[in-house]
Amino acid sequence: MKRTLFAICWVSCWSVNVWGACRVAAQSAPENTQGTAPTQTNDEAETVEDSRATAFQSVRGPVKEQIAGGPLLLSAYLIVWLLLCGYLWRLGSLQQRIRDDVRRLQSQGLAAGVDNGAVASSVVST
Amino acid sequence: MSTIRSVSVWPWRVAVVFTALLFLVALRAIFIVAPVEAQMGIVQKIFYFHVPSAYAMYVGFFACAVGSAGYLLRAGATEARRRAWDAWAVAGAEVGLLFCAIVLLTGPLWARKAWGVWWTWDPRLTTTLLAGMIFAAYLALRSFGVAGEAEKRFAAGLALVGIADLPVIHYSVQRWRGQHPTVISGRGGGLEPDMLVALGWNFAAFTLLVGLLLWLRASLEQTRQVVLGLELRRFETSEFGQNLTSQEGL
Repeated sequence: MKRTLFAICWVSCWSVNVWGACRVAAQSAPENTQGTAPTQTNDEAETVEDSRATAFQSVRGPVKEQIAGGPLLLSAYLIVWLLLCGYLWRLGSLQQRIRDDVRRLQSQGLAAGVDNGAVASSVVST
Repeated sequence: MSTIRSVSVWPWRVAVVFTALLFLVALRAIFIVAPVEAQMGIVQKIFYFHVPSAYAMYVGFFACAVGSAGYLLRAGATEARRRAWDAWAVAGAEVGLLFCAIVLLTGPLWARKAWGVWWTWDPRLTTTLLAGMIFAAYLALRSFGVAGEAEKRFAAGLALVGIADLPVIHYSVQRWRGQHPTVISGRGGGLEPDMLVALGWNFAAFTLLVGLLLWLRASLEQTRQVVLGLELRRFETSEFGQNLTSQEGL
């Protein structure tokens, strides 16, 4: 099952890689189908640069948004906090599992000198 | 023999409290200090944690690559040292993937407002997705139960391949035509001072957060591997394990 999952990840990874590279190459290619040399002027080059945002400026005066940004912003914050809390929960459960294993090994006399209360910050030495 | 040595937890607690306080300051800077952007409106405030998340993703994946390189190059080192390199690699991949997910999920919410679409095959978006998939493959490979030496070495190689994608992500907005903003690069028009302050606080908060998560995850991984080693030794010395070993002729 895990090998299948890995194979799927691997294949989709490189599929996206090849497809994305083709898309980027297609977008970057000059739109010149006549066989003549590219004749892009400085004005055209500036237009391409201007199509990308290069500065953020603060709003002045009352304005009404066409697409409500509030729900999008709220969703983004929810995603961030849910992912962070979910990961912390995962770390907590992993810590608890390790602590249980250490207790069990301690009871069998295999892990001497282990402090169960500080597994999270434990360091390992040989 | 492997032992698990405990250290004091108070530096960890202080760091957690300090990080939480820093996030409160950062949130205040985002919603009270920083002004609303003129073109995009309030949704531009996603920018203040989207960009630091991307930075944290770089830190995580870089830690994974450094740990993997250390694991591969220090083959003659002690078991504990190699285990530490490997633990940092696992921690880096996992934490980096967490922040990569944040970047890839918050970006489309901003793009819906700014570009009118949820997703576009922009060079930076595509290469970021690619990095996420490479390190997801790394973690899938490492989740094969008790990873042996071959799996660890193969995963380390994969991480070193994946790190080559990070410069491509960073320079894609400069080298290729795309739509992704470049407000904090050398060619951008910059940010207003209050916006810069909010971004600075968030960079500080995310720096501490990614450091804490890496530290915690690497510590847990080292302890987990020691426990797995003890379990394996217990199995090998048990009657069942010895019978199995003798049957296999090992």
